[in-house]
Amino acid sequence: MRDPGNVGTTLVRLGPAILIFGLAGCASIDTFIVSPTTVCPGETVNVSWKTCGKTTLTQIPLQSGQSDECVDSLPVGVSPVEVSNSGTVQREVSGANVFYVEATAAFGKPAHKCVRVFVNEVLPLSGIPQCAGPRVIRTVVSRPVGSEWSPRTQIGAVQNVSQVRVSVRHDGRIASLAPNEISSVFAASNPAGEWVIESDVMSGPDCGQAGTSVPNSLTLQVIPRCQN
Amino acid sequence: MALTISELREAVGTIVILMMENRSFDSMLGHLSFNGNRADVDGVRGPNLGVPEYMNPANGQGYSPFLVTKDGGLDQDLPHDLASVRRQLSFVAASQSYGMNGFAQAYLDQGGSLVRDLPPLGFMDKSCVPVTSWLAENFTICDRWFSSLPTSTHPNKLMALAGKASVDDTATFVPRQDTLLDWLTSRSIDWRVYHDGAFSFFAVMPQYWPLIVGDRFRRFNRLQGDLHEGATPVPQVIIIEPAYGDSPLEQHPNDNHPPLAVAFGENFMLQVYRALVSAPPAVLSRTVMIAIHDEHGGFWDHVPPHPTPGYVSLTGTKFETTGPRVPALIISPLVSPRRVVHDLVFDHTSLLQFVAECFAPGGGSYSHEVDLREGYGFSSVSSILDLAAPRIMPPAPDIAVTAPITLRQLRPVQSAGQRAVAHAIDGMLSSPYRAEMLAKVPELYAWDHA
Repeated sequence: MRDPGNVGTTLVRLGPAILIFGLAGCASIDTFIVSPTTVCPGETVNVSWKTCGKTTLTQIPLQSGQSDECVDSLPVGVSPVEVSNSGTVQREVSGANVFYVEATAAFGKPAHKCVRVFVNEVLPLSGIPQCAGPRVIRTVVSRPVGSEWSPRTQIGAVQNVSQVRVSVRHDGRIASLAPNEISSVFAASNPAGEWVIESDVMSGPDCGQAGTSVPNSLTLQVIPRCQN
Repeated sequence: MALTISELREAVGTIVILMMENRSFDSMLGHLSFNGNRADVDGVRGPNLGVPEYMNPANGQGYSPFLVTKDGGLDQDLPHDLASVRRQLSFVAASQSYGMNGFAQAYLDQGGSLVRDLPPLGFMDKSCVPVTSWLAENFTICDRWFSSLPTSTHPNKLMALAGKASVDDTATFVPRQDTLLDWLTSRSIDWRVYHDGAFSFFAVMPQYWPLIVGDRFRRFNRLQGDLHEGATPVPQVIIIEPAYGDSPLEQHPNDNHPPLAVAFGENFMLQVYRALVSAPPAVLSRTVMIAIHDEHGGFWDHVPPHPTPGYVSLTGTKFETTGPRVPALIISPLVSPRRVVHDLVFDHTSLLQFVAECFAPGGGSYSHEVDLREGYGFSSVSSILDLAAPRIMPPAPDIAVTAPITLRQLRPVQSAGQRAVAHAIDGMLSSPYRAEMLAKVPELYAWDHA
């Protein structure tokens, strides 16, 4: 497309572009990990990152009902802290927090990413059902990647928020729960591991056929509690 | 169609097509029905959003939709390629139906932020989309308008502008295929394209480069003057394009394409409306503007796609359904205010049916391909018009739309969409039309020297 000319001319022509590109640099977030993401009040979490560009880390305490959506306009009153391009820090959390990392270049759009820490909050456990027989649907939910639990976090109770009766197996225990029923069968168990949620196909054709009456998801609310 | 062809042609003189980018119906207009508001709109119900029918399981966790009360740039573009859309629609084998609950998983698979309120599940509060919401209150919306194909931008734009798509995903160049521009030209129907940014979508089709350097393609800031002055006859078909986020030439995109905040697009919609109502009454009274989004852009919508069994695209790909719903506003003195059309189903080819009904010499349909789509139940826009009570268009609302200024870099080009546009720009600049392009689009100098 472009006539390159001789080397000198090319360098002269490219000079401003090289300068601009050098100033612009990069703005990317290679990794951003917070662990664990479900904790008890006063516990610490590890925050680690690897970025390119001028980087800031912000810890945003969330008010009740405040959205944690990861948009690029920070709430008033929070203070980003400039950090190096990689590192790990420990932070104590007493309530729900969002950790926000931003990488900026001299020109161009900054990159940003968020991870939320849940503090003793109810979390939905959910999966898409599949046929486990002509009249049975099942979903198997493994330890949620998005909510890694701290050692002090245990199950307090479990609520069935599906609109159908479900049978739940976890940690060697089993419970049958009507819609909206809350059970303490799993109390004090570790939230991690496999959860098997099953339900009967209520009416109509067998599973796997058009018109089969099955919910789009099978969902439990996990109500955690903190071990002393 | 309830109207006869002669009634329609008497009533409609100009069709304006405005196509924004990458937002679902629920993301932009779902708020209309939220919290017990308009029961006539099939948007998001509430206030409880944690209901199983809205739940999006991802990595074992359940994610619910949420009301967005603070506009802002997202952490990334949302997945909306062919494979991602398939995942988002989430075909449930157990019931042989679409669960519409794979949006969270598709986002997290792309490395999205681990928070409770995942961006694809956000739906805008009225305060974030004041212009769109005002238009919905003052004109007619369709809550069964689907993006034609369950995939990304280019195929859906082609369905809107040609009734057929020669690509399945957003590609660098679109292979030569005829579009509405050829259809109109060959029938001596006057048309014009107004693009707000430096780049028109048609530039990804090299066959149109000779036209792009000509007078039919104009910058958007000329529209109001062109309509108002009446110095030249107003074309029968006007296509309006926002400034595209995928175009590396744009310093201030306003197409609603994530990760862009929606305030820029809202402001653009307001400018378009202002231009429209500045037209002389004789023109405005016979104008119908259709404002749609090309596809859902990865945003959640709760309504399953419309079935199109056996539909085969130009590429040979079978598309058994449409994509998700998109916002569709019909803005005209010829439609009723605060009306929602729910019982009729539309896709992007509904535009082409309408154009043919209004302007095809001697009648006749747009094309065999559009007839095929009509066979799946897609209605023409003409079915929405209400000629019984033509009215005066309200003046543009006094809405101040503010948004954070986002500086953009010309390079490096990153996304697939940006690569496609960059490829087209480089192609134009190495074509025989280089000098004319540079003369017409000053932004190309910056690109050429970056």
